[in-house]
Amino acid sequence: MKKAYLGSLILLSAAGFGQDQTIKNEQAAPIDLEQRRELDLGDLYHRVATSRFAVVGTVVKHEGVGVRSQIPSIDSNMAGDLYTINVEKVVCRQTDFDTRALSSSKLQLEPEIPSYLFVPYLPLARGKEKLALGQRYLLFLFEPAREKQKEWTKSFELDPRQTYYRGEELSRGVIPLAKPTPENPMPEQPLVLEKVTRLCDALRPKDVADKLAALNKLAASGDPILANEAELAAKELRKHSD
Amino acid sequence: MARFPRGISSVSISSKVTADCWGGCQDPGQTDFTDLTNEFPNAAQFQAGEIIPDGQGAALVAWSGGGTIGTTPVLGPFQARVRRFDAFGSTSDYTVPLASFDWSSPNFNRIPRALILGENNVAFGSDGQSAVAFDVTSGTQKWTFQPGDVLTGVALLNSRADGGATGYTADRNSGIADALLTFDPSGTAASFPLASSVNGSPTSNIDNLSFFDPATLLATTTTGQAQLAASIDLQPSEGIWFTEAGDHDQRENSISIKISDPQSIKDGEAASFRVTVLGADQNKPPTYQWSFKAPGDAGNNPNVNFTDPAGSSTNTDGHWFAEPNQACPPNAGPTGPYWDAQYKIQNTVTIPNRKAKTVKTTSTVNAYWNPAGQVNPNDNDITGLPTMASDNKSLWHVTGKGNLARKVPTQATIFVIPQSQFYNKTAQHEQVHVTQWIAGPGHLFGDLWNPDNFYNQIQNLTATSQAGLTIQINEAKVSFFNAQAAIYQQRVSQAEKEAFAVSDQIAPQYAYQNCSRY
Repeated sequence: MKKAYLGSLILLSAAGFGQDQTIKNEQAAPIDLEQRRELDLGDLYHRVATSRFAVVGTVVKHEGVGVRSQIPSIDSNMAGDLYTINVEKVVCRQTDFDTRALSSSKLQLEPEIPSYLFVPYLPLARGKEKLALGQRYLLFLFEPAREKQKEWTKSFELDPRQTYYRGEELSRGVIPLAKPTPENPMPEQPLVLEKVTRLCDALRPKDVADKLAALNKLAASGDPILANEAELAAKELRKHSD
Repeated sequence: MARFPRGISSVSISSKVTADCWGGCQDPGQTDFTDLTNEFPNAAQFQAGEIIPDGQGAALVAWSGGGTIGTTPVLGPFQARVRRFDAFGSTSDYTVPLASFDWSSPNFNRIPRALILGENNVAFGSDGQSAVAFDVTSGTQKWTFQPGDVLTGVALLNSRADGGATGYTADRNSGIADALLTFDPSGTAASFPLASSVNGSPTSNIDNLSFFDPATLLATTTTGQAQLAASIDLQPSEGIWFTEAGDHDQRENSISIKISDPQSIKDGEAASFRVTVLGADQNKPPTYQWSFKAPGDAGNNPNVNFTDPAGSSTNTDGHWFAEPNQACPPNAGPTGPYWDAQYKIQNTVTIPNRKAKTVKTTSTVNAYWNPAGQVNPNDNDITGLPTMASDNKSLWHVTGKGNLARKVPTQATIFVIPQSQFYNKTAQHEQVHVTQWIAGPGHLFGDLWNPDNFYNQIQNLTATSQAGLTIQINEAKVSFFNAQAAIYQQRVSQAEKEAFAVSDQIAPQYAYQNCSRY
């Protein structure tokens, strides 16, 4: 079933790292909604590289957002769903993947600072993000282009001072995690979390040579999935650092 | 000698004041009495003076002290001083530049001395020889006054509402008053000579003056007569404390009454309000009465329930009312008229022997939820896969419906909080939409996302591999979703009409009515 991602992979590869290009990901590829997201280990490098952030967080609020300047009528001017995420850990930053320094202040996202995931109601589409209140997630947060954000905040009752993210490849970017409890403070987590964390750790050093060294180490780790992703990442790094 | 102010008993004063002690005495700030005595036997002199409220929930203590051990000054020269206790028991000291350097100079002992709390954090002190205005907190001098004649002294009567003070001048030796004095806030004095009679007692000079009540002076004559005289406009400050002994008045502890800041809540939420009274006598506690006001022409039965209507603090419910009184909202936007129902919340505080005072704040109850609820078809789908098989040419076909199934909304999301009066209205509205998705005839969307229809679209698909066929099926699901969504959109207006037909009948019939939209 992994081939179901082929279409989106082609798009992503062509997109590179830039913010504006990744807007294509606002439309879901014909992804397989049957697959459990926590079992999805495909395309890790591209998924994190095209995400502004990969974070672990919990949905602390779910609100309906209405269309601005329309008198409420219970539900007929629905603009979308707004999820407030309490970020507990930033696993990846897009800047980690870029050899060019991205210095936008909008790139600041730290633990304990709420982030917002907005899912527009229209157009009705298959595969949109759907999050549950109180659920803990690994989220690949995709930042729509500034024009899109402006369009949203102008048309919908959203705060123009905030940045609103979407899931990378919509619902594919929303991966449920187990929540620690007093009885089980370290529950078993989906493999994808560990693999993304290791991949991001390797890419975190500021110096490209250090990144490549860490990726080479990962490639030799014996984990076939990580080896493949590390090689892909190293190849992209070399290409962009030339 | 010290007149303890009312309401001071709640202040924590950690230091002690030792009164009228000559030699081996204790600085009011010193708690280690024994050590000081042992260390400085027969050294410094201390005299305690008046204690008054400082207007901020604590006290000012007048004391005089200083002296030498041999030639070594202890606490500096002998001075008229003030120790200020704050509300937490911390202290600070400053000197008050009285002419005699002493709160109780024997040279003017026929003239009453005073420490009086004024307005605007100013206090007034007099030693019989002079009067001084100073900042309560820092002791910074504001103004001083001393009669030009060395045989004449000055007494203070009261503080004035404008920030000044009143007093009188009197003969140093006899204590007989000869003129009333008024001081404006900058200390400019005006003198009003007194006649040698009060209400027809021509042979008796006025011996002493003090307030009898806020509008009447009590005059005592040299022949022992007591007379009441209508006062000059002396503008006494609020809360003048009249002493039972007919001595000079003292100002009652300044009482501060504050109510919580305005609050904004959603319809159905609770708010908390509190009134804080500072400076009242603990033995005569205030009584409280909460009440509310709403516009007289508002609809939807304005009301506020107080959990403790006679308490200093209370919780309220949040009941939105309609102003203007109409079913359909006149304006969009999350706040402002109609959506914000603003109550005046007030508390009437009654303190014994004082005029009741009403303090006010507001409670704004907002009923704007946009959207109020939803039944979201974005999560609709055809789940599962058909059965697939390859023929003898290794071409893969769809061979049956497999586990294809319909996924449509089965429950609503209600954004209105459950405690709101609009919750049931919204929930019933959304329940109509949920019902519209039940499969089969008689339900508006009962024919949408039908797996049989989807199967008809994919049954002839083929691919050279099962994976390839699966990709085609998933692509077909996207196309099918989009086609079904287009049909759904065409029926939305009808769906709303059906839902409002139910919810419009449910109270309150405001804010979330159809209003001819569908």
